[in-house]
Amino acid sequence: MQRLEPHALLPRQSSEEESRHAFLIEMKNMLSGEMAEGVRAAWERSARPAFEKAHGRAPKDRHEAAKAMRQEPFYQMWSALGRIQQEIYVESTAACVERQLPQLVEKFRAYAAQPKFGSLRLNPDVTIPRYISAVDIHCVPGGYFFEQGEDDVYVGARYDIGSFIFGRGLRGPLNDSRGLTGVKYVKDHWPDLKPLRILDMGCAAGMNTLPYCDAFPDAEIHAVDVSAPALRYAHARAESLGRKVAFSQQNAEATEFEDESFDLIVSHILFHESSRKGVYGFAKECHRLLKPGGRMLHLDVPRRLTARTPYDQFIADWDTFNNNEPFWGSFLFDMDMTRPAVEAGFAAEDVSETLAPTPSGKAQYWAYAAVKRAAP
Amino acid sequence: MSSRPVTPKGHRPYDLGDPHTERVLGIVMALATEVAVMHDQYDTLARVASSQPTFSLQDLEDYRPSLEVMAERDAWRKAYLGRLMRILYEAVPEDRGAGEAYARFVDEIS
Repeated sequence: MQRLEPHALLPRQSSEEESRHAFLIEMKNMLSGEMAEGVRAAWERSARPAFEKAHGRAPKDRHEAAKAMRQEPFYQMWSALGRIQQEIYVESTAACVERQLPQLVEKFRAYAAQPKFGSLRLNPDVTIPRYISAVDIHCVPGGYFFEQGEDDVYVGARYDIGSFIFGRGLRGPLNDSRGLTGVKYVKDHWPDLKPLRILDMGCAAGMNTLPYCDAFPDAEIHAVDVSAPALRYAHARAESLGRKVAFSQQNAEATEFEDESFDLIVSHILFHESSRKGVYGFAKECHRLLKPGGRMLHLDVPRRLTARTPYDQFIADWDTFNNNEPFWGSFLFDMDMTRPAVEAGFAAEDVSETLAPTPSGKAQYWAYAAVKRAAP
Repeated sequence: MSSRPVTPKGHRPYDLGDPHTERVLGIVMALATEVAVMHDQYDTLARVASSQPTFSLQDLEDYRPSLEVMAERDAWRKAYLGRLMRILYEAVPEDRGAGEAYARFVDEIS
């Protein structure tokens, strides 16, 4: 297993916390490995035959698979353990950050007072979309917006170490595998694109923004999010790592940037935490902000393209009901993704949905891309 | 006292039917997690004690396992989880009559 690469803002995990988190990662490995095979066996040997006997046909979609599987004792135990693992690691990371929050806030203040590279602009009047405030996504109490005091960075700090555990240490020592994947996609598919202005939508703690700084050192890089405590952390983290990003608190559906002012717009795991309306809004804003010839690239979970059978879709839908991801299943399986881009103004033939491999080749993400054509 | 919320906003499903059973499972897994922590702490103590004549509490806190030791600990965690979950892989008794048959067998040989 890897460790997180230390930087000035990264909360320090005690030896006890490192051990606890390592166990919780191994527990998740078990749940998604050997025990997931047991769940599949329960489907093959019990739930599916029982459904077919009762209905004279196979389950036709994830909802029917759910009705059959939710009665299975092995599935019930697997699902209950999955929820419990989530709750234990979230609480442990929360306590870890809270213990050192005053020091983290002081570090933020020091970087924010004299930034050497980028900038931070907060706007307390920004409207928080209901899709991200109605429930605490990922079962993190307080969600993306909890603040206990002035200059709070708790949300971003907890997200940084929490993301490492949630991702089972597979997102790399800087939690930036999605950003690195986006960079690889741009270089592989659009080798001639030399972006001078890049926007990262829904950047949260900014972990996936920074790879674009390295890949496009001549570009001016902007990153927006609606969470102030995530942005404070993102700004100080980027400063501590020596990367230049202009962070601002804005809703990605309606930013204050000028028309046709970006060459490349990216996002990472933004779509599934939004809503149907949000996805249409992001596409529309991308089309408005892109220069002619500019590109948008949105990365998200791969299972939109890989989970095909009713059973696989039911398992992939677990987070919708058990991990406070209300839009997850609908985004993964019910949405025609060409329409939001076409309604925004992109030509249908310029829109693509593919699987983008990570640089290591060990994982892949869903890649939703489009180019804005020059006006005729 | 912290004002940090400890319960996430949203619906909390209970897969095991009886919420109390699931809460007990939560307690068991929290305890299992702490046992794993103590295993690492003992391992740290043994390694530090065997490598230097005297040491402080801070030495134990500062100890970070090498990649080799991390791999050993990962293997222990995997095996430990296997032992914790063993009973889930036992066949669920489907023949409810089996218990009665066994009781008759006990009577027969008693």
